[in-house]
Amino acid sequence: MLQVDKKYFDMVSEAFYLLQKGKKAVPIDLPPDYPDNELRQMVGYINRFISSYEDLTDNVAGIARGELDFEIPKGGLAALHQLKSLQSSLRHLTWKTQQIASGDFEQKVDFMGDFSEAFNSMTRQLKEAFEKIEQQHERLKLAYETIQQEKEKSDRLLLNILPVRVANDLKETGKTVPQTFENVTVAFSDIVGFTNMSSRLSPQILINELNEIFTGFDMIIESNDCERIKTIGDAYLAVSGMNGGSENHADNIVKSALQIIRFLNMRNRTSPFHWEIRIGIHTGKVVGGVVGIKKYIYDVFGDTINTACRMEQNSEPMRVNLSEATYSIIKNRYEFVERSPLEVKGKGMMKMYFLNSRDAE
Amino acid sequence: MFKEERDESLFDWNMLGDIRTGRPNLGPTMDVAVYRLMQFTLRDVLIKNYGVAASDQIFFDAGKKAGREFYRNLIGQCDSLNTLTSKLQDLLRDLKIGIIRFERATSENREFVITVEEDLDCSGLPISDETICVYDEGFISGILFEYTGIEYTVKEVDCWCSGDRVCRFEAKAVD
Repeated sequence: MLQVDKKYFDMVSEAFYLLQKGKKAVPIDLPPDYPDNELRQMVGYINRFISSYEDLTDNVAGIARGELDFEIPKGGLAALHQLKSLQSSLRHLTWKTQQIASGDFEQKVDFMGDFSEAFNSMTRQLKEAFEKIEQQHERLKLAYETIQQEKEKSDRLLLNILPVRVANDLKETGKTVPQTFENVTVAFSDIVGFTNMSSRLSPQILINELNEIFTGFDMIIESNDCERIKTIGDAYLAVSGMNGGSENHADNIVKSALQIIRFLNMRNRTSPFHWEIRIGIHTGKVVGGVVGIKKYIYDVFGDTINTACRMEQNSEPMRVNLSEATYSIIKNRYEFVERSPLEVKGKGMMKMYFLNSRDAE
Repeated sequence: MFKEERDESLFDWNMLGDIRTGRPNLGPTMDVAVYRLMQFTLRDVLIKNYGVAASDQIFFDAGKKAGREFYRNLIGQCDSLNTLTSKLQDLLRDLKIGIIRFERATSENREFVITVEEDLDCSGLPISDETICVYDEGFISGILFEYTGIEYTVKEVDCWCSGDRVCRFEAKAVD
């Protein structure tokens, strides 16, 4: 009959008591010379159980902390096997989640009970939400492109009626400051007998005629680095030397004036309607700016404009009449006919010069 | 066709035959135990005649051939790892081979950790402290080779037979 010291039963009891209370159990230590009997065998099993249970506890704690990348030791405890299975499932879920996070919404999870359904449902909803966002993004992109196109269109329209600087000022701040330009050459033209002619023509024909003529003028003006400021009825006002314009403003305007007369001469040869114009040119200081807050119109002001107008009034059909100011700039480049000084309203006597426009005929 | 002497593989997918025509009443499936009966009696005879190492090599090579043919004929060309894993997961489930799960894949597909639960070869076998799924090792190696063009060593590190509830495989590209 095996005789066992009572203290070994106490040690076994204490070990299981500690395990039950969630504490660390101490392996049972038999003396080295203890006989190789049933008690030693039993203590061996108990100590292996304590060791495996400790491993299990450590591994469960690791998984509870979200640590998945460790090796669960081999062992006979069914709980360890199930833990390994749980670790595998969690690693797989982590991998699946990473794939979904990278945008692959086709990933599914199988055979994980309620979790599979919840996970797959979440993926499905993510996919739907993602697709919805993509659709919205596409719509926004399209809307943005449309807005951009419309903006470009409105910018083009704005630049059609305003200088770049003024258009930018208005776009950015809603206002613009008038600017003085010291050396600008101004051309003023008027159609001879327009009032008489207009009473004989239908409004449609009249507008068509003006449109064709002024379109021709515009092309000439633009090609000579000048800019059309406005038309008032049959009058046409153009300048050169404003808004970054060339220093050759007088030459540009005179060249334009000659080309305009040439253009009208050629047109008159084939058109059923014959038109003649008078052109006046003057050089001086002008102020450019936008007046009002609606229907923006860029306009030019100052005595130079009035004088150019007077030059036009004192000109003759199909001739270009220059003030002395303009003449003095370009007298060496063209032929002129000096005229007798004439009385100009509000100015007194003024010297004027006809441009010899034979080459325009 | 089936019993020709050969120096290189003559396997063709058509060798599997027209099962629907051939088994109009019994259908394409059978009991897992019958599959295992064939596998373990075959293994038994192979080990008896050629030893464990040679038998394992035969199973690995056969599994690899099966994996390559499986990829070519059932999975088809995959343009991404995600496509491969999704198709593989669905096919192995639908064909009742096992529940395959990818746990990890390193960049450039150099290393994979894959588990198979409810494995056709081993789940439910008696515990023996042995990893038994050598055919699966070859099967995974064959599939990965077809997908990447790279040779892989595949080692089963956990197996039902060794007391685990999942079969875990580590695949590493051979440099």
